[in-house]
Amino acid sequence: MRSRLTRRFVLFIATAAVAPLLLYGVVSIGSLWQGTRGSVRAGNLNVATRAAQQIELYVNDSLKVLRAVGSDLRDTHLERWQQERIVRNYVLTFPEFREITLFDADGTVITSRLGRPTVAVPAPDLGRADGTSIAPLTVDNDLLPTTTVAIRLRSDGRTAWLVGALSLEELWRMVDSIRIGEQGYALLVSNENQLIAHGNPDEKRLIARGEGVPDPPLLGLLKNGRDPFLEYVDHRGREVLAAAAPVPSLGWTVIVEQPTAEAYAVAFSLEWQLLVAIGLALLATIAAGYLWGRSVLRRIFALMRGTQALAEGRLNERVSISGRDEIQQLGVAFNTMAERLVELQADVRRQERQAMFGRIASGLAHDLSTPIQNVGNSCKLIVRMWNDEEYRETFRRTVDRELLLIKQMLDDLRNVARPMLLARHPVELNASVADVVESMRAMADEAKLQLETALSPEPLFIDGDLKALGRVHRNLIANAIQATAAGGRVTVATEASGDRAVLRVSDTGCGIDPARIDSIFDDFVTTKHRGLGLGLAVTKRIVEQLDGKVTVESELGKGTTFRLQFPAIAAHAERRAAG
Amino acid sequence: MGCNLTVAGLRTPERSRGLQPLASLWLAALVLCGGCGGASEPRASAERPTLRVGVAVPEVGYSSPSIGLGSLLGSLSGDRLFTPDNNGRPQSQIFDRWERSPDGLVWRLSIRDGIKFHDGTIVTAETVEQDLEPEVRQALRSPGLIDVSTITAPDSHTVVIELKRPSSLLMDDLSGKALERSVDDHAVGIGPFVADSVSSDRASLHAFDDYFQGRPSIGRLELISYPTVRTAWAAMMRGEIDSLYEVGSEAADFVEAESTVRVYSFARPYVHTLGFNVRRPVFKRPEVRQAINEAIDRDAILHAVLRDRGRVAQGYVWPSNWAYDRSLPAFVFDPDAARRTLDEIGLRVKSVKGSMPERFSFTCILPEGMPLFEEMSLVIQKQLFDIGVNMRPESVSFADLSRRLATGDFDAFLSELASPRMLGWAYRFFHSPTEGFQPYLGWGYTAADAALDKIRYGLTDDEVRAGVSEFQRVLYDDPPAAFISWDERARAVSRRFLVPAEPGVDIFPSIWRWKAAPPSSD
Repeated sequence: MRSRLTRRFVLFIATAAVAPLLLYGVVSIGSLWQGTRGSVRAGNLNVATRAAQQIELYVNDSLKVLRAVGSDLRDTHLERWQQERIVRNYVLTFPEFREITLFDADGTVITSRLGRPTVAVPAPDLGRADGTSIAPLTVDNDLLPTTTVAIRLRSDGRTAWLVGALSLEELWRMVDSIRIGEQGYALLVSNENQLIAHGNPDEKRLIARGEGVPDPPLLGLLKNGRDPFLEYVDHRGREVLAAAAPVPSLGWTVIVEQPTAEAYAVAFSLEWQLLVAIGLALLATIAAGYLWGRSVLRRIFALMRGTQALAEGRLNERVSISGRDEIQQLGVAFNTMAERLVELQADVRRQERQAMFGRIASGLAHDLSTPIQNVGNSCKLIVRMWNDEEYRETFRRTVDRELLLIKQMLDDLRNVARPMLLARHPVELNASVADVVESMRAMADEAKLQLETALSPEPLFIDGDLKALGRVHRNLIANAIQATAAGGRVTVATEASGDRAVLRVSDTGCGIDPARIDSIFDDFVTTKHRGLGLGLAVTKRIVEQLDGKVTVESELGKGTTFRLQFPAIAAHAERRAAG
Repeated sequence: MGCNLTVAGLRTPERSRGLQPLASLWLAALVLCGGCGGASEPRASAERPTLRVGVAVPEVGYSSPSIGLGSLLGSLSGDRLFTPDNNGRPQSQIFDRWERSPDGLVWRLSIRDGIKFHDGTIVTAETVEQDLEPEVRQALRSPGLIDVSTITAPDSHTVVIELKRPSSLLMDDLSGKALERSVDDHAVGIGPFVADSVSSDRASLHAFDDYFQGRPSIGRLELISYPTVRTAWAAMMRGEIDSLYEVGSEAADFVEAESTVRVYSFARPYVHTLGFNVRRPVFKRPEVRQAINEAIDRDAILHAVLRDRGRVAQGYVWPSNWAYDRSLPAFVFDPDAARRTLDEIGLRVKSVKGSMPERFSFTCILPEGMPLFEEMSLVIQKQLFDIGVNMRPESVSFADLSRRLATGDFDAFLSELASPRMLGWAYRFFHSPTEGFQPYLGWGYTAADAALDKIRYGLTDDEVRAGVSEFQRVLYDDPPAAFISWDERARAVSRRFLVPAEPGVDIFPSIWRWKAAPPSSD
């Protein structure tokens, strides 16, 4: 009962508090997981896009610088030394140029660096509509990637080219300046997947080695117009989050890579915090539920224990229920009820005691009045008939019988108060029964009924007390005679049943009311109009003292059978020998 | 004159210096000798690591790659009689003790025990004497040897040098002298490594286990030549080399950022110099040279060209030299003062057909293929343009540069001058020709002769100090050049090697102590 109640209570807490909280946690963490990752990816893509714009701006700015040089040179009729000064001043001012060289229409160098020029007039197919040109990536003498930008100058109807060699180092510095967190960096990849710049200082060697990006799936995503995000393990074995953005005018791609551990650090932190918060809330809920449940259940269990104690007759049991709620009020009510029960029990006992005293008194008065009256009448007659010898004999028998009756009443009363002292020894049941039947045959004759015996042909030894057994037999046979109308029959039978010796006393009397049959062995209970009602109670007590058992079967109007079972013992002689 | 004491050109490596033809012979001798010395076989090199060093040829200032390697080869296979400390005082090397007679005419030098040549021969006073004797007997000598009368070896440990006149420059020249002996016309050194093979772009050396300072921890050296500093850097990024002899200023920040490489910087005793040929009419007047000195913004050059890797120079003398006078005035960037000076002496701005309006113009030769000097020349050109002086930079091959400087066929030059801590080099660059001595530069500068002679004949530190102060003063009052900046050099070494470095000190002289790092420290 207790565990069932506890289980239900736990189920209640789990259903009402823990499960919703868990559900909330799962949904929240899932949403946070999606949200923060999406945010990080979008942020990194934003960085890549901005970096691409920055690089495009860088290259386009270099074209602007060349245009500025061109506007300083075009149609100004400057002398050669002045052109040289302008060009060299620009090289000094703009470190993104390793060199700027001015070519005339024939491709002859007008002005350049101090040494031999390292750039050339761009191929015709590279020129763009706006008169600019960005050469494809090439490898310079140092086996490092480089490119040139150029603008076409038209002056006085002649075409000239201003060509600038971009400084890889300056481009690297710009790419190096792009940082994503502490460990994230940018890569610049050409349209042929050749690495141009790498923000990680230790990875620049890949550029020097001419290593390309081995067409990572990320570039494929970008080409296919899909979200350019990817998480993969880079060549150093680190899990990275990569985002890519194109540099449209150059055909290059910017990739930003950031270790996922760092990229999602905030997400991890938030998720962890939420997890901890939910975990704490769960723990708090479980703890609160446990404490509350324990408080409620403990008081309910206390009430249960009290109730069980009352049920078991321990009316002095009280419960101590703390709190100020209904359960506490229930406890108070329980204690009040117990108090009331004690009072009621006391009242019942007092009334029972008074009733019993009344029954005893009236029974004694009733049962003793007849023998006393008989003795009194006999005494009166003996005075007058003293000389009648026959009457004197009658007088003696009458007095003896009545006194014996009185003695039996007193013995029964005494045996109610304390068990009868038995002197147990092997008793042959048939013989014991036959003696009593013979002694009571006169009583049966007087009642005009038939007293029969059906004794076992084999001797039935039990460990009994002859005197006590005789009393049991007499009580049962007397009750049967008294309960049977004239012409009826009382049968006393014995038999062996396994290791038991059985005695049955049956009558064809009026039977016992089923409503009273369960209490006929109680003290002072009788179905007769006279007597103390101690006969069957004493009978039962004696049988049980002899390790036996007494049962009754009765049917109203048909009769009653008392069945006594005793443990059978071996033959008399063997018992003696054994004894 | 022995090849190790003869230095041609302006860029003079500290250890091995020679005219190009002589250097080639010297290298050939080294190569041949590497295979002839029984005691120098690479017997124990196998278990020790090999170090690959990338050397950019222009760094050592020669046009031939093999000569570039030769510079480093010389410093690795030879050891000098003395080494100067950072203050220019001689330190014990082959000689562990030395003393001078009170009159300064007799020097007694004691040789350290247990020094061996690569062929196993023990270094004795006689071998030192034999090595020095030809140097002294040459017609043209370095200034410290001009006054040597005799060199003797009274016993196997003692070398006695007697002078005709006291000379404070003797120790300077001995410090630059790498000891070697000639075996079948091949030079045999005593340095920590022995050359096995030398080609135009590569040299291979093995450790000399009997090196007197200790057994080298590196088994083999591979010296690889590259045409530019940038090329060498790219090679290091590709993993072709373990060490970069010079980290270019344009790439220094990238190299320093690499976690697999460690960079060691040190102040190098070379001064970037815009030198004037005082025989040219325009530069005969000291006011012109002073005005140019005032027109040059050294701080701007240091920042824009050297990217702040170096320091501003105010003279030729190494600022940490023990005799350096810090109390003297220095040139301050003042273009207005420069203009006034030039105006006052009549050099006013005038129009010139086909050129900028100018006070005067001159050509400045500089070594080609060296972006540093190209960029520096453009900045100086711009600064001088601001005062109306038209400087025309002209990059020339190193051979042409050497030839034109020696013959005086130039208006001005832009290069770096070695000022290797001791004072003897000041004499070589700035003294006029004298008996037994020919200066490196044919620029006709004579103003410092008296001061340099005071240094040369100074018997006490005070006398030398006074000479140095006077020399510095002359360089300010009658400047033969505009000294622009002191160089700062950076070496790069893979972290796979442990380098016992001291802050601010070049790591290559201690290369024999480098060793492989445990794998975990890479």
